[in-house]
Amino acid sequence: MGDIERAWLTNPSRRKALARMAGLVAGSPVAAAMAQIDPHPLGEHRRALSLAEIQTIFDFEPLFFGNVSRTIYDYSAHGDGTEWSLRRNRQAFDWVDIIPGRPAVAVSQVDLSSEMLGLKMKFPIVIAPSSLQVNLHPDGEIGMYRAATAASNTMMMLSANNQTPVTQVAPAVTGGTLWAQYYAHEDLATTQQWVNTFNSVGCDTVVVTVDQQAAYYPRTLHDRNFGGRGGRGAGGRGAAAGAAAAPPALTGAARYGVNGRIWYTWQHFDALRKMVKGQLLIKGIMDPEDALLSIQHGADGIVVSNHGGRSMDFGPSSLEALPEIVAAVNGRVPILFDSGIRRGADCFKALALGANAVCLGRAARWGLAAFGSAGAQRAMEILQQELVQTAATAGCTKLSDINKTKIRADFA
Amino acid sequence: MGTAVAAGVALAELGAQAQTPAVAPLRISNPPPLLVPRTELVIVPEYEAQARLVLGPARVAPILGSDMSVTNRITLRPRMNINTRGLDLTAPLFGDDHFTPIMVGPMADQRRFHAEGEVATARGASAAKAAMVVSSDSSMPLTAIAQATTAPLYVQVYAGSPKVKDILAQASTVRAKAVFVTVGAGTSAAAPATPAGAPIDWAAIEAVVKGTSLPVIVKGITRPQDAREAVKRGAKGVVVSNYRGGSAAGLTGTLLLVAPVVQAVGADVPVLVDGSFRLGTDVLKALAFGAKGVLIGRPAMWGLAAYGADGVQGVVQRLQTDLGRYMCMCGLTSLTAVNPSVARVRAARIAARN
Ligand SMILES: Cc1cc2nc3c(=O)[nH]c(=O)nc-3n(C[C@H](O)[C@H](O)[C@H](O)COP(=O)(O)O)c2cc1C
Repeated sequence: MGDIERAWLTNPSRRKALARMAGLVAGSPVAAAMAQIDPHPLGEHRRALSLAEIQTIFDFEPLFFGNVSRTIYDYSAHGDGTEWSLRRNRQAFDWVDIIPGRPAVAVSQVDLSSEMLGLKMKFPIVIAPSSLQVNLHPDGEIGMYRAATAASNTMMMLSANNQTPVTQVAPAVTGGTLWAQYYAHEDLATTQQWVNTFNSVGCDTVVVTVDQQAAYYPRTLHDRNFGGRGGRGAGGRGAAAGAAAAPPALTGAARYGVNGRIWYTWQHFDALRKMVKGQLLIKGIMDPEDALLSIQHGADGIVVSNHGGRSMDFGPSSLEALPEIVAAVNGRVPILFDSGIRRGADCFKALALGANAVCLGRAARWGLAAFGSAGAQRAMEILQQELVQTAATAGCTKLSDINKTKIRADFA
Repeated sequence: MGTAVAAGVALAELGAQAQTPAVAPLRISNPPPLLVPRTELVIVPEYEAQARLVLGPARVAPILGSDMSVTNRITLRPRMNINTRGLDLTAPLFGDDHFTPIMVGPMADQRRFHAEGEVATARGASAAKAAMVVSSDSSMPLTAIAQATTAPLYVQVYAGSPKVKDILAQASTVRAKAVFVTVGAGTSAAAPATPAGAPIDWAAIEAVVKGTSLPVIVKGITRPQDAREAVKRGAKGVVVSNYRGGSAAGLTGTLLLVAPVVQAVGADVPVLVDGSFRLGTDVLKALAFGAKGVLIGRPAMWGLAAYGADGVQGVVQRLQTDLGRYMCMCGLTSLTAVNPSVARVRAARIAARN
């Protein structure tokens, strides 16, 4: 093959060249003839993995990318600000080493079942609340719940920002466990309505998310150069346009273009605590003092999370925040962990640092977006299997074996 | 495989021969670069690329680059359930209540970047209610700059420069609110910087203090003992700065120099800082270490080059909003609430695998 021909075949601008040529001959009889020969001249050289070929969580991601619009992808993929914390969420797992077991044990000997807040779990892995799942795949929230239940009865937290209401999701699957995530409304009557709705479908455990007070994640130019200008506003809050948006008569934070859930208070949490008759968890805790306040104000459990890097850029990664919170809580309430979990080894590290369970945000979303409910189920099962494999390698036969002695962490 | 090429050539020839007016000619050349509309920019570093587009590689060179190595290992401390609706960023400095602690620092010869130079910068900064420090090597008359300014205006001069007398006279004419004296940087923007570690010419600073009734702020301090000496010689504030990007000279970023200087001069002397401030989080970190204000340099020039006064305004307002956002997320409603526990210095690390 000659150099010119090779360049023609491999140059990234080949598609453009072909498209131009198509434009050149548009309307000519040649174009019509070409269309009859090959109606899809571009793209036939690509093949996506089938569900059976998926090996790791990362395999789902490009399929998710390919299946949804760029706006939907951006909304799901990105984080606050420069995404320094989003990246650090993943990097922090590299700062923890797992000590190989002496001896390793057989996978068949590993049983990671446990009970937490009345929840019987075969694996200490649950589904984090994440919004707008119908956008990912028509199976949507019900598909995610079905997947979770099929994957050894994994508990799912349903986002308050769902596209399928809890009244439809809860009854759609028998034998599953659904918790309801909630964003506080300043008006307590509205809060009471939400709680009543949760109760009416048996969602007695409520998870109130308290982070992301003034976060935004409009896409940076780098991202939008690929995807048009759809990113802004998709979930963005705070002032995307900067302080310029503020008309002169504003007071307080609004003078600086700062808006959002900046009114949250512990008093409001107290009021919610009274309304929720079942268990109330608090999600988005990243500081030991806030963990202690959560217990003081009656939280039954804490989710250590930086919202998958979507809350506060240049906050610590969730993983490096975990040990200090675990120490402060000292076993008084269960601690769930999320942000950055993509592998079984990641689950292991968070559990060893003291989490009682880990939650899947994007990992489950990628599976759902790639193959619908079946993909989400496969994503959960991959992580369950990888966790068991890691536990076996580290010589752990039960959940309590996964502890500080099995890792070396360097969070200096 | 040769057929694909052959077919391509054949089709192109077909198009050329057909000569139908409906067929657009093939355009091979790239269109000139298009600026992204200013309001589409999300974070301040994005302005740099736009400035590069407008100025081209040679003219943009003096304002390229940032040293994020220090700020990138400092985390902030998120706190929940604290109502911050009453957020107030008011910063009392040198007799004025500043809208926020962010101001535009002195940069020489701004017509290099935009036809209206310092006048456009002044208009943009004032639109964002931010103070501006005008360089003694300004490319526009100070009176014109002052006319475009509604926020506090400061002037800068190099210690020991022959311009000192003239600048001090002009400063009082335009009702500037303070004089910044730059040390460690020679006597003009064009002059070679004083070698690192060279002693400061304190007599030159005393000359400025004696020559004006305005507060004098010494800019270019990196060591606590120099800060103390500056105050002894009559300075009413200091700016921690390692001028022209310390990274080139092998100096560390200025953020970690702030706390020792603050400790040396005490709470009553405002310590400002500059050098690679690019994000609202950078500003908050400086405040956590005890700084009372932050000067921004290159980012304002990125805005100026790409969008004129609008760009300067956009850069400053983005920093103001982001300072406010991150303060809210750390549960802080005023500058006095900011304290050392807000920022935490982490270990320097090699980039991770994934
Ligand atoms: C697209 C997306 C939407 C989310 N929506 C919510 C939500 O509505 N409520 C909530 O509490 N957390 C939400 N989260 C945060 C997740 O619950 C979880 O904290 C996070 O995804 C964990 O990080 P990971 O994605 O790295 O696993 C969302 C996360 C993503 C990625």
